[in-house]
Amino acid sequence: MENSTTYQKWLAQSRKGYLELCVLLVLRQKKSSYGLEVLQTLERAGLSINEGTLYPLLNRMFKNGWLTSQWVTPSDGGHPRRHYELSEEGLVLLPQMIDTYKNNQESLEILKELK
Amino acid sequence: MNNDQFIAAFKKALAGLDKSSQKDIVQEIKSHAAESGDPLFERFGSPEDLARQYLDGEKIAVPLGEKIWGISKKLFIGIGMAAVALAIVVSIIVWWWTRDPFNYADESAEELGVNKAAWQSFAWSDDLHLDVERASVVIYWHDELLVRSNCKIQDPPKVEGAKVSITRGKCLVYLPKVVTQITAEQAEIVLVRPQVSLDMEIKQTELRVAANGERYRYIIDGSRTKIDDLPSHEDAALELRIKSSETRISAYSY
Repeated sequence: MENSTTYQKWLAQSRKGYLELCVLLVLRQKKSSYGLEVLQTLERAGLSINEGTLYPLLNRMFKNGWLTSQWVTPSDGGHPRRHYELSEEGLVLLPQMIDTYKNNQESLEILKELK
Repeated sequence: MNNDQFIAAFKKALAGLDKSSQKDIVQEIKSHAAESGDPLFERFGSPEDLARQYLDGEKIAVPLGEKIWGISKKLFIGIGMAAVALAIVVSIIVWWWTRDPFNYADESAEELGVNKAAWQSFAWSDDLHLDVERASVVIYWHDELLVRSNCKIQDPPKVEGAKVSITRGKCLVYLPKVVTQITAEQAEIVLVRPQVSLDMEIKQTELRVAANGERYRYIIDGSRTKIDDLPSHEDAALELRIKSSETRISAYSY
């Protein structure tokens, strides 16, 4: 039971950074997007994430200065949506994050094959 | 819990965040609810848990009321501590200023023997009447037939027949062991281990007795007289008969 709890913690920690990277990738691709659309995009990519995780994550990334946001009312009417875009800082960080993940992946592969 | 209730509870749980962030966050959740059509509680769980996710790592703004209360509390505690410290300092100063500079009950104290030139002596063998008026007098007894006095006083003690008068001053006095009557008005008197029985008539006076281990029988006829810590022993050989008014009588303590 305890192992399961610590595993959940580890999972949450390792997932947080990974999800941030994924959100940055979605926004680089879409230029501008809002919560529900980001969520659907991630789900289509096979990443299961619930709303209660995504929205606070977007807010934290915005607070960190990696994203900018503005309220956009759809042209066909409806509720205004909070649209996010990569900030300049986010644009600079994204390639570095990708490199870090790649390097980590390579290290993992090496370690797995270690004799 | 419907969406309105969810939003109300969510807003409340976000109260620590700055207003602008709160507004954006709540609006975004409302927008999500409107677009997805899903009940918020189903999608997000409890509003408090959701708010906790937002508040994680945030600097929480303390509400103005709490801020004022916090500052006031610190201020009151500060003022209170300063007042207590001041009271202690004042008490120490008052105690230092008003304390007896000398232990009059110490009959063998060096101060009683030095500066002999300052002592006045009168030969005495009869009954004695000591009259003290508006003066502070410490009275000791000795084996010699002398009345000796050492005074800080403008006029030295006056002798008229059997009466010695001390007025307006401070004196240390040695009395012979003869029949003695003491009268006093507006005076402070310390009796140090009286060696004879005494008849006293005192008014508006503070009388303190340093028994120094001796036992006395007190016969006090007092009006408006306060008596503190003065044990009377019926079998004592020496009697202190005191008629007093507006007076305080107590044991001497240094």
